[in-house]
Amino acid sequence: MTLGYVARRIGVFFLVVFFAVSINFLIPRLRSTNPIEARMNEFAATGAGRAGDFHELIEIYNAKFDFDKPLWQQYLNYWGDVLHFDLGTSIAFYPGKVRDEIMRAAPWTIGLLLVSTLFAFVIGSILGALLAWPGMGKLFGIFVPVLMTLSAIPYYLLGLLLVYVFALVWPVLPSAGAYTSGARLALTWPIVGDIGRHALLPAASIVLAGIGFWGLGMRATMVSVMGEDYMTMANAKGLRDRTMFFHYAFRNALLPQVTGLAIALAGIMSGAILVEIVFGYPGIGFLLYRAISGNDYFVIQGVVLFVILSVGLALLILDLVYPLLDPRIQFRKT
Amino acid sequence: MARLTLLRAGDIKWQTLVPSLTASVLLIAAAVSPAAVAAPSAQVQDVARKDTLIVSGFGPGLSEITDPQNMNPYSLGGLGRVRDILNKTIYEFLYLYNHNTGEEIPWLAQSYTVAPDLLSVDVALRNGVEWSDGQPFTSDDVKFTLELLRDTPSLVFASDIKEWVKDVTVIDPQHFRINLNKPNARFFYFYFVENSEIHLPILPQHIWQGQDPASFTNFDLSTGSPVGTGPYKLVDASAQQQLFDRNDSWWGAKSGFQSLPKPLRVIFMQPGAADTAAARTINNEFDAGAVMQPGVFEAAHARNPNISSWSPQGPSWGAPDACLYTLGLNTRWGPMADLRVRRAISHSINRQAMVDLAYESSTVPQVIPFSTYGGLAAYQNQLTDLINQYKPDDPDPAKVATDMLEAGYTKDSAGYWTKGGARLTTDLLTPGWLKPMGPVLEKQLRDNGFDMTFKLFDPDTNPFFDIVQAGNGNAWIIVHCGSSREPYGTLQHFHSRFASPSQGQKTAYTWANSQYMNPEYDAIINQMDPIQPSPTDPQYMALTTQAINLFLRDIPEITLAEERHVVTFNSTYWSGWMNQQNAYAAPYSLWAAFSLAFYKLEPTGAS
Repeated sequence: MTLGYVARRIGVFFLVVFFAVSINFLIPRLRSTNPIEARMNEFAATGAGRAGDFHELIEIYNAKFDFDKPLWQQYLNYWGDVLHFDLGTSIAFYPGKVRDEIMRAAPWTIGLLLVSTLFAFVIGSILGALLAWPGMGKLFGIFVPVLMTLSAIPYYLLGLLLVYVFALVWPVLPSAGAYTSGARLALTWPIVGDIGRHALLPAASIVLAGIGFWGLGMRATMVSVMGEDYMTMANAKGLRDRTMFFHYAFRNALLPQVTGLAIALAGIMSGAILVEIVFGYPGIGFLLYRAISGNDYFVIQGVVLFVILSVGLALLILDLVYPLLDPRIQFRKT
Repeated sequence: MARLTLLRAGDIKWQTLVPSLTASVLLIAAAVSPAAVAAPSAQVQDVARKDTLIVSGFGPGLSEITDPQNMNPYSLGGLGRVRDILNKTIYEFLYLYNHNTGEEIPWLAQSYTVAPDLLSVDVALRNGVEWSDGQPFTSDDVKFTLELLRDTPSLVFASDIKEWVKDVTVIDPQHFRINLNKPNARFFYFYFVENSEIHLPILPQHIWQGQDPASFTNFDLSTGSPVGTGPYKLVDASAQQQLFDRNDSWWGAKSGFQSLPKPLRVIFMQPGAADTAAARTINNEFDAGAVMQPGVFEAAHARNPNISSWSPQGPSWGAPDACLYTLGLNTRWGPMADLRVRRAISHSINRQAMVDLAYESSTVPQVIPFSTYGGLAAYQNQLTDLINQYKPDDPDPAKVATDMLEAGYTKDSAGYWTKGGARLTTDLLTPGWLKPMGPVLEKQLRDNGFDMTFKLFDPDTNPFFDIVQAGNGNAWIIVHCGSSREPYGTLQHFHSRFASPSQGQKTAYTWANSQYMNPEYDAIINQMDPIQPSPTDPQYMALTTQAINLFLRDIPEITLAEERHVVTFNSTYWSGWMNQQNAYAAPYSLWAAFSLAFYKLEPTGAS
């Protein structure tokens, strides 16, 4: 790995961030709807005053949010704010800051999705690898259709099914919420246990769907790896099965999985929108859903900015770390 | 390649245990992180479930917790903060209103008198009202609030108050006069009595004076903020829930006005998705608030008999809400400007079939734009003959054909109405929350030769209102909300003052989009403007009859059915909920009079 490569890769990262942030700025503004006017229409539709009389208020907030300025000026101001890590003021939560709203929601999403994603990755990858290993077919063959089914079912539908089974028919788990109603958050074991208990069903819906995804991917890669010469060589050398499985097959097959994991982990900042809605989970996904419904450009931009930076950074780190994972990968000019 | 011996008994244990343990530790560690971030600042006692009332929001939208640590009722997000739990706990209102009977219920005020010239309202406040910090609630607070709204255009409601309120004269701490810019017989009723939609909480001057009213968050639990006159105090707020504990020093109990409400704690919960909200109600996690579809309600009731709704018998379990399912028509531009086409559309619609298919027979057809609320019944009863004369609920393909042929249309080879070689093709604009009606009405209209396709705006209704209000839509499905006690409330919306100045410019009110312009009708409404309503007033009743006559004749819109919501209550922990037999208030948790339930509820003793 040369210094030039690292510099080029970092340059690409900034380029990607630049374009992504620009698109992120433009997309909400392609809609013809003025978000302040839409907000007041929403109020008016529920009885708050008369929409036609809101003009003065709309003008005031248009000025506060720069909507009265030309697009190019809004764009430059937006970049100025981004460079100062100022994500602006929310429209729906006014005068709340976007950063505060994201920070309030992020721990819930990270806690839920980080664990769920890792769970699904570990279990799915091991299961997928075992499925491809010769001789395991009879024992694990039943898992293939199960995995295919799970990977095809959207996780929010699995969530509803889990609620029905474990919260209604056999009510052993809470159906929704991040913790028991009335409980107050504190760093105590009962509260921690309560939060974990409430996370089980939403996490299970993500894990079950994820296992199928990771498992089938791993199985396909393992099948390909098994045909490699070095596997034949290892077998001919009489290496132990466990050595061949972990050191020759599993490790090689894991590389594309790790790439997928990095992207999945980076993407958790966008939340699992539907799972969070189904389970009334106060995370980023729910925040994003409400921001989109409420034309809250600044919250949308804030959440997406986090996602862009997370994915971009994850891929950058992955590119830099890859040679360490796989010595065959080298970044030299030929 | 040999069989993998990975799964020997000794290995299975470790290969499965290690990742499981690791993930479990991660789960717990991750679960701890939010706790560390969002620890509460106040010391709050635990309260048993049997002493706790849990209210979920009415449904997605305004009832969701918007910034749990902002209690400003008038900033850009203000209505969503007030129009749910805050109007029953922190804030109280001068009057409450029972929609079922039309009764005005004095609360912070004792009485009000509208001046004969309709230019002022004299109000007497109740003695002994106090803010939660012990300061007296006086006329100065009312003057401060109304004049702050009048002078601060960045606040929600500012435009309304600026239009109407000239100033407030403080006569003494218990008496004040609201002076109006122009005559209005209904100003006080509209803004301070019938609190279903407009909520104007009075602000404590000693807290708000000197603050920037648009950005002041009114939230500091350590100092007892937010300060209100209500029987509860906010003690904890997070994105999932808000906790309110009973204020045993509440003025109402001290003065003997009311007993303290029985629930020691009220929790407002984020409702979440409709299905999970139903599950939580079944599991006794919610005591009130979840709105269900009729079929879901019946399933929930079968699982948990303690769940009830407004009506004890189905299929119409739900309660009216002063809104009517309506087919809006553009009477000024496009094909619907022709009365004969509107009449043909009207004859194409089978209201009962629409109610049965779209809403599982859970509501009733209506033909004039009034709900079945008690305050309106006395007026509607006197309009029966007129309605029978027009027979607006008369689906008849022959009459459709007669009107369309008279309007110059013929049917093309596909069976659709065509004029001058151009087929009458249009969208049936439908906001997401009314989507059950879309396909049913489309089918009925298509069966009668109208090439109409329902176009859904879901979940974001934009730009539905932009199109409709600017006169750019031909036909749309909407709820028309207005009258809750007198016909004028809705009938005024067909006055030409609500029409767009020109096509492309928006109308002056969300619900008034027919673009109907009839000087004869305007004159009737102008005469109703200054009259205090009464079904026994011959003049008022005669004007109502004339207006309805024009409504039925000119069809500025087509009233389809009453909007009813299956609001649900769970009597596992609390009994005494409002219902059709015990109709002390409308059952909508969004509305201020829902607070009356808090004083009626009795613990069942379940633990």
